[in-house]
Amino acid sequence: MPSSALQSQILQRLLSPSCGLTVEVTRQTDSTNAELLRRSAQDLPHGYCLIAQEQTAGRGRQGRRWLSDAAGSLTFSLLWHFSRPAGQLGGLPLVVTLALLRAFTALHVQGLSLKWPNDLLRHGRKVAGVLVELAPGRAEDAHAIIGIGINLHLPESLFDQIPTPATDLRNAQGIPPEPHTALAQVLNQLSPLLQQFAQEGFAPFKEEWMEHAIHRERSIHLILPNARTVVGECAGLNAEGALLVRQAGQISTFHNGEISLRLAP
Amino acid sequence: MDLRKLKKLIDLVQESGIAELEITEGEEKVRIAKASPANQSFMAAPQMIHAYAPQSPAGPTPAAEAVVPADKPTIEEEGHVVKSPMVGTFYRSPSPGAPAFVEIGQSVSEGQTLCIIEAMKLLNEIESDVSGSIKRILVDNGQPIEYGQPLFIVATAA
Repeated sequence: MPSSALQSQILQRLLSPSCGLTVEVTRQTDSTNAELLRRSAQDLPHGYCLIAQEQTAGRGRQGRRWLSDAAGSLTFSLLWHFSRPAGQLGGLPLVVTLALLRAFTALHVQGLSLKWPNDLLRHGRKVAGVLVELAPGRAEDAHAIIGIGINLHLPESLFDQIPTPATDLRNAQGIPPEPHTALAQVLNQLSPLLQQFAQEGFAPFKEEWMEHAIHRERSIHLILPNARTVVGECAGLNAEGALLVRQAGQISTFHNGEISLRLAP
Repeated sequence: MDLRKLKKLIDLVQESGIAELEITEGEEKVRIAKASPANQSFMAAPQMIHAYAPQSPAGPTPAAEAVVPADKPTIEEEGHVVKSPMVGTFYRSPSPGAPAFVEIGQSVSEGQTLCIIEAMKLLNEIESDVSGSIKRILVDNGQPIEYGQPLFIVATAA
């Protein structure tokens, strides 16, 4: 079923009542994150979820585009009010990717793994990405806009335009998860995890996250924002979700960077 | 202020739970800042303008040493200091190649975006909390930064 048939009433029925989410389906927007950022100055309620049938300017970090297909992608953003300052939310994108992994595991998708900090992979190729933006001007009680893009069923023509190895969530028979079911499963997994993260931080999720990390105990190349490359062995995560890399017996902590496994056997 | 006294103050900061201590005695001013645990990592880069001292998690090694000479104005005295609310990477523009949010000398109003701090795909647009003009930009694009690290000095029209 194409996602153009997404119905907020159907979704709302599939959501667990304890989620406390409000969903809105819009036909088209530039980017659900940008739209929620614009609207965040108004009184949008905590747990407001904006789902776009089509994104015309989906965003990744540092101005990169997130390419999607109206019929085969899920693109949505969730507004979450925290009572913590920004400095304590570092692990948030990781918690979101863990929720995605749990959701699609529950939908019997095979071959899933995580790549630090925010990618859900299937057979080593990206199937979903997360970008969290904080609404400006809130020092002590951050309002996070959690943007999620999921490839349910992408046409081959789109794969050619995506610079990183990507795939989608179709099963062996070529059938993708039904969009309402997929979205409801993600939101039902995400909401309790965010509630727990808001209370306890990232530490309770650390072990489960690393169990699924594709780079667990592997040698990695970490390309830093200043283009320097760090070569070492992945030594897990710290309690905030930062990456630990062992080099010559010394462990260093990193808060940003792109892990490359292709360069490292 | 003599060295023994300074050493005593450094020990005091090290043993305490406080991150920073500033003492003014007449015309003399001393500030001692303790590095956060995250500073043990590669974040303690040579580009840092503040001499954050590496903190040993285990022990009695000397930790605090950032001493501002009394005759040199602290950056707080130069204007309003905008500090980072989180550990991460500093970006002056929304994307590579795009114009910087602000340049030195530029007027800014309260609420105007100055930079983006990113940590683990969490993006935080930092706004100016005052109106004025950008006097100094203390960090280079793409550099790792610490919690509380000064980023900009904004000269306010006093």
